[in-house]
Amino acid sequence: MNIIGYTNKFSLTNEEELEVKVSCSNIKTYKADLVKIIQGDINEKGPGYKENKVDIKLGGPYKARNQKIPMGSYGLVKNNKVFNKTENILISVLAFPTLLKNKNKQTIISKFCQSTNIGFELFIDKNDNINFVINKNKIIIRKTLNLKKWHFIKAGYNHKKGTIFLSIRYYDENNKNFINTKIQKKIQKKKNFNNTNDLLIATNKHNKINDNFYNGKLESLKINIDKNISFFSKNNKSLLELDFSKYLYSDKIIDVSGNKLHGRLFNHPARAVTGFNWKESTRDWKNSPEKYSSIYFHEDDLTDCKWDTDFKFKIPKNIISGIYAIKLHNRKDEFYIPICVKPKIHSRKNKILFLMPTSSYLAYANNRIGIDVSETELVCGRLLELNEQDKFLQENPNLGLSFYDTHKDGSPVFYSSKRRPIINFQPKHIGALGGEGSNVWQFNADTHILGWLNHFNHDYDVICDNDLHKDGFKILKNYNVLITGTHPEYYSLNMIKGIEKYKNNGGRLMYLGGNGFYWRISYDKKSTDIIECRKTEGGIRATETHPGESYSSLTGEYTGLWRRNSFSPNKLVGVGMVAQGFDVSSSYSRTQQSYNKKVKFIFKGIKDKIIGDFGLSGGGAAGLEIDSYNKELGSPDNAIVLASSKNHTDLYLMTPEDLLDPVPGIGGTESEIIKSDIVFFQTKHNGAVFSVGSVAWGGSMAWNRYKNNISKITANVLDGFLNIKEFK
Amino acid sequence: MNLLRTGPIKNKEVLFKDSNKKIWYLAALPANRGQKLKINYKISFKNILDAEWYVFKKRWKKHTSKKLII
Repeated sequence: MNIIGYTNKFSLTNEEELEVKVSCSNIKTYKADLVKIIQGDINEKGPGYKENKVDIKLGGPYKARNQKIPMGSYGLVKNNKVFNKTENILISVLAFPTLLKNKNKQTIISKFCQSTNIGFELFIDKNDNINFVINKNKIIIRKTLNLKKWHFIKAGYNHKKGTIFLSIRYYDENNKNFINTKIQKKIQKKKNFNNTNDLLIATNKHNKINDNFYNGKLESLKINIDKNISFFSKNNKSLLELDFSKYLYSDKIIDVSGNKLHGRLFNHPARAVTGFNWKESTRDWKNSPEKYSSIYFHEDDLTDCKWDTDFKFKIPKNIISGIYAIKLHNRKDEFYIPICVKPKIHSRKNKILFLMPTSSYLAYANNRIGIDVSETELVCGRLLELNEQDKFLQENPNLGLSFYDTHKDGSPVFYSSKRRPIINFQPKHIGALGGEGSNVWQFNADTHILGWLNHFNHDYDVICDNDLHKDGFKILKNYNVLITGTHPEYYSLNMIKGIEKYKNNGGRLMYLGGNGFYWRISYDKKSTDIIECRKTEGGIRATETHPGESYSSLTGEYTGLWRRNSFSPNKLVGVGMVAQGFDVSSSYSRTQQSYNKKVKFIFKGIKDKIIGDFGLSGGGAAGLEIDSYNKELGSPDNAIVLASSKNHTDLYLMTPEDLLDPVPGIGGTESEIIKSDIVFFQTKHNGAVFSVGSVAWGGSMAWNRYKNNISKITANVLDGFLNIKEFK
Repeated sequence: MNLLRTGPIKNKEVLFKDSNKKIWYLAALPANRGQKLKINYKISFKNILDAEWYVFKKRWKKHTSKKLII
């Protein structure tokens, strides 16, 4: 892969300007086109890949250039004249390193000029020893720091005496006492270590590039500048005193010294993490922010590539709402950046709205499930097939992580951003978990639905999750039918409320996926480009949140599964997640209730008792991740279960939230709860919901060029939802 | 099968498929992020089942120290 890129927006309207940011390697030029994505699955057994070029010249060929990805989170306090009068210095900080034996230097604080060797830096060296540097002088405590333990570190320089000193103090849990180690040495007096560089936290700078990122928590970072500075002197004159518990929900870091040396954070290090003084009696950072006065930095945090724009253009006035992509290409390669062209607020709307689940795309963005996780082969029941894109991701981990990965130190990934190239958010992409057959996942699987809508010449509009989050119900209210993607898993409160209100105000919802409405997310208040997810309590997850860290830093919301947040998917759409398995999918058997005249419109022209025993996603319509009706969890009394799947393999296992007491028989061949249910129910004001509860459904819609009973049932529901005024 | 399909990520067998060709090469995952995928262009398969069978025998031998003879 030699072209990658991203845009500044997921969704925009006609005549709005879009910025395209591109990075290339080993090519001199590239071209760009705007294409409409009709069907992205390249499986030769599928309906055929289809994109339509839009008649607009985007300029180019463009000169290829390489843009660096600035991975790693850090803090920055801009240089200020008050720094330049510093003669003595004492830095104190609480550090909780989480990645030792890393073979990399990890900087805690730095204001150091590499070209002149003037300044100071406190860092952990490759041997996990703490070092302090003033200009060319260095002092080291040759004692390995303790992994995931708090250390109180002091480092300073006395200008008058010419002494450089360093100490660490930590609690030895084996011997139940505090260990103090200090070291001091004489160097030259009256050294001037002032420079014009910014003060950096958790990183340093080499040749204008941030480097040597620290992994772990930092807290109570202070700089004192008293005249008689030493280990023992009482230090009162504060130059800088950062209180990380202030403005904890933002990227601001606040100086409470009075010097107003406030700073900023970059690439979203984790906030709302437990601090040195945290005790288990505190759970919510909003009640006691002082217990959450730490910031957790990672060398592999990334929420903004900050690339320069290569070209920009206005979305043509005459193109209809839909999913398009900027296609960057040259003779060797191509890269697609999908965007959603949404209708203008006051424009005439189509009757059908497709909700593009961009928050779920972000959750899975650049996930490393197929290359980092050994068990993926086990859950897929077959050897993993990698391709050039997987190879690229393996060799370029600086593209940032997903909610399915862990940080290098094993901690959970809380934030995901669109401000980076997303390799698996492209048409033609082949995933890892998509089952035998097409093996498509998230965006490319959703193009099975788009292809179906296009095949049957339905006019539809498209919006993204971020639009629903921002505008809520009002963006949905003018549509007769709302169609989801195949796997709309990640929802914010605004999104849930918007769907609920739509459903209860006469809206008709077709949930054509599985594992939907599962995790609660928060959007960054400043930008919907960034989401946060903390996988609290239960649920299927790569790792769990740490004790006391279950509230979102961005909004303060309690996190975890929606079913644990009083808004279960069962309540919203009639079904909720029960199992996953990624080998083969199953079929549905119609229930007696499906012959009820109330739902006759759904089965018009269907004679089969077994439906969906075919498909591109695992060979069946019921599979991959499946949901079922459960009254206990809030499935409505009036919901009709139209069909249920059975005969899932033993690679289908119950979810952890249902597996309260581990007992044998939790696989698909034995457990009765492992099934997908198709349900229909009416809501207020003649609203209705049709839910299929299966990620694989879309793959069956696209089977046999859309001629099959799943496609027919979907068409019947859509037709009924568009035309039946009152369900009787 | 579960035993044969698990194990450490380092050197775990996977298949690598060239985009437009119906040919799969045996490959091995590296231990760490950023390291190169090790693709063995000398061992290739024209269908997945042949690849599964090859890897199954390889892993069988590794686990049992015996060659699988059928």
